[in-house]
Amino acid sequence: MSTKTNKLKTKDLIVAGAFAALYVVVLFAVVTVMGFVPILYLIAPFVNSIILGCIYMMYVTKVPKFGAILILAAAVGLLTSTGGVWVSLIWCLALGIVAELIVRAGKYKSKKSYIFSYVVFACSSMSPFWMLAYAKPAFIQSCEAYYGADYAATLDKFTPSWILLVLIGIAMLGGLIGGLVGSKLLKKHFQKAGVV
Amino acid sequence: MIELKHVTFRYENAPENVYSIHNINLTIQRGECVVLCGRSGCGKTTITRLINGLIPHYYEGELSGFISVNGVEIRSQQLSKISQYVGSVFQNPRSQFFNVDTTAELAFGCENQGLPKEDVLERIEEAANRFSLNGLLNRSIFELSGGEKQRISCASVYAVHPDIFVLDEPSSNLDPASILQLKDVLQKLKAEGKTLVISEHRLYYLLDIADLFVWLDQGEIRSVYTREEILAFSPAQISAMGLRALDLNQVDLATESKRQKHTGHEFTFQNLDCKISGHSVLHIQSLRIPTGEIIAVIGHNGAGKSTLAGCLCGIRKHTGKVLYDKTEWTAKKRLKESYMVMQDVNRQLFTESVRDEVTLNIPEEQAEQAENILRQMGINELADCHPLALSGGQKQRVAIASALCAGKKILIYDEPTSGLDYESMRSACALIREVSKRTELSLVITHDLEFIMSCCTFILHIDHGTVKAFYPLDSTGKARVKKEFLSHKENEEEL
Amino acid sequence: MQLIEAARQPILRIDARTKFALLFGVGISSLMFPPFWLEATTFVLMALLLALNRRVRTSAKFTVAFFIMLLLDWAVSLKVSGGFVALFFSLVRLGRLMLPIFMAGILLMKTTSVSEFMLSFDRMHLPNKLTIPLSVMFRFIPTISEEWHSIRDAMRFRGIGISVHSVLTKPMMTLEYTMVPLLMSTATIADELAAASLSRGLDTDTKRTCIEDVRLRSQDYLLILFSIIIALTGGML
Repeated sequence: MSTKTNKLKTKDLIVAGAFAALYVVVLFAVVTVMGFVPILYLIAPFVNSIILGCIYMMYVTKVPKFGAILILAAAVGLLTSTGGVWVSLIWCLALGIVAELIVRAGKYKSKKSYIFSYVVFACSSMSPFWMLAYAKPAFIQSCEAYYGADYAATLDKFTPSWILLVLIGIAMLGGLIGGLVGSKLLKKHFQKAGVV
Repeated sequence: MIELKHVTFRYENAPENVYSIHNINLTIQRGECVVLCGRSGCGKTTITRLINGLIPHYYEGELSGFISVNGVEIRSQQLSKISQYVGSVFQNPRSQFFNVDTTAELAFGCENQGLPKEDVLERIEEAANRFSLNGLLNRSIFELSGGEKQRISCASVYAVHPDIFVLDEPSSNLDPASILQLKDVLQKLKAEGKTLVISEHRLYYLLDIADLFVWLDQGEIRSVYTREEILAFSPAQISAMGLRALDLNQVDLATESKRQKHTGHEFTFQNLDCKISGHSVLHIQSLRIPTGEIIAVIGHNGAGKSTLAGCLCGIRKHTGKVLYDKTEWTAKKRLKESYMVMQDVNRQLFTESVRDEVTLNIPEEQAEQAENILRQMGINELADCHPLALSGGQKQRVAIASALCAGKKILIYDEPTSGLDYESMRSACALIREVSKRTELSLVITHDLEFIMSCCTFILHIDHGTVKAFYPLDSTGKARVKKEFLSHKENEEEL
Repeated sequence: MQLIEAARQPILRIDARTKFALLFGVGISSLMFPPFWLEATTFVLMALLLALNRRVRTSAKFTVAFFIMLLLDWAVSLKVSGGFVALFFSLVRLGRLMLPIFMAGILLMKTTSVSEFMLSFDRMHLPNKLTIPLSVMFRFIPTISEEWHSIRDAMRFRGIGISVHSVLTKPMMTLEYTMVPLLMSTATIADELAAASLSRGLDTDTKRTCIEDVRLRSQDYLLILFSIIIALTGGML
């Protein structure tokens, strides 16, 4: 762990790119697999937060410098917003800033601050669901035209707006588990093996 | 001109007093070709990193002494400046491309320097002509063979027009035909008056090019030989220095024929056919492989060797049957009975200690013999270490031990000796022979003639997705396989 | 020079910035459930752009998928009402709306070189600290899928593959066995890649150039305008 300079070097930027790629690939893979079953799709943020925890923890331990988390946030935001959910870019960046500040408060050393920052950062895994907030009326409307008002009403009932809060909640819970698991894995494997 | 004076270096994560190189003094004149050779870990790679500036600008540590390249002290120079006159080619073609297509990769170095578009295109054209790359332009790097990748990386370095080329074990992932192509590239560079510094333990392809051979041992320069001096050594002396054979023609003289005992069983392939996106990449009408043998699978890159291995061990979908004597083994059965030791062993280590690794997912009663197997593999003292913290050779042993503990019957090795020095290669040989006594079938995908001669008992030659030949490695077989390797004319690029 | 140029040249060159604009425009418009004529127009446009950028096969595959989904929607869905069947067909329709988004994504990822990405990001005035990571990210995605396939094979030899069963019975163990090699590979390749690209002058202070012509042409302006219009009006037309 090199803590000599707190500025991102080109080397760190390449590592950041690599881990961002791993992060988004896993994120999308999980969403795709779970997307086959609509109910599972709703708990995808929870599962993702757990799985992505180890990638996040490994990454921030490898690049313990200001800006690293923001870069990851920008990458995740950019990729998740490509589906048209532009809100998610802003959401991810905001989470990134908060997470960055938390780690900064821990002076890039405290393990607790890393885990805590991930609890916040993990909320990014529900960002595609922001589409529920503004695309739903259009969707319901289009369903009504296609399948009738009954169907549209059922659908409406199943996706109330407070579901977003639930999603944020489970994402944070997943984030806590993921952060703890990630930090355990890191200690168990990569620190023991001297990789980070 | 490159000058190293009293250079000593320790990597920052290395223990105190463990120096990678110690008091190195070396002067390389303009236009010379110098080969740094020696065992793995002798410090040859470290010296290449000193010349291209990765030490101290990328790999940090404790550095003392004086290093100058073209009259400039390397420490005072930025890496991006150094890159204009020192070009580097690395060992692993998989991780040295910044781009995903070849033309962009050729342009990369020049673009970094901010050369105008027209100049860059001209230089790509020049490099492509120089190294006959026209068939390789505009291709995805993921579809190139190792040899093709290595040619692209040489050419992309060339496009920047550096005076000095630094190559770190460039041949370790290449098949014989690709090594010849590499040799051709190096010869052209030398003819242009470029300075070449090559770290390598496989010397046979460098004999016509190199001016000096610097032999390192334990971080120090032991001696410097001219071409004549190194040719005067006997094969045994070369082996004792940890180096690979100088002349592939001589390799079997030192080793005796060691046919395995026939166990009387056999594996039979019937009408095996494997398709990848509609194209048949492997078709075997009928093939009978006796058990208990160590079979070297040879052939060009892309001939279908890995596909064959994948089909045999049941991870590749195929039509046709595989029989063990008279009973059919389904893909599922074969997957259960087989194990592949991959080239990059990192991908197949999962747990936190060597003991956990070998006992992973196997029944209790089999687990009891784990200690025994660890001892036989010579890794019992490492039982509590983390597998990822071990050296490459040790990792390989852990992987093999885990296969033995699980009672696997078919063992497949994917280029187990690529990048190994002489001694490591010999110990891999001994290991594979030992293991073959406990399994039904050992299949080794390899390009290493020296290894084949000292370890294998049968040759399976795959070409264009079919079996070109299958023969025992007796004296006629040895002559035949040697001919196969030595008469290697550069294959026309298949476009 | 002709040789390089001719093979490289897409039939209609569009800038990376335009591809980004299309991706966002198509995405936003699709999620607002555009009327069919707009959906069809968008689809045809994306199919054409893919074909003109030498991705004819991809384009053809998407077209086939589009027509199958369309047939399902027209021929069957009107005859059923309510219940799960209707839900299924609404998912089919949702999937159809997603097709242009995937196509825009493929257009961006597969027909843009890393160096084009870097220069385009630069022109978009993204900070330098973002240009390199984002470009490396796009380059790394195929590498990761390559690594993943080998790791999955390695797991199958040890009988620890990922399955519904293993995820349900021992989730943490499955997670560990999957992530450890994946993280290890990523870290190693990233380190080696960093060393290789630094030794080739990536870290330079001079302004990078690009062999591709990175500039906005008239087709770019038209396409960007199109993206903005569909993004703004998609749901309202």
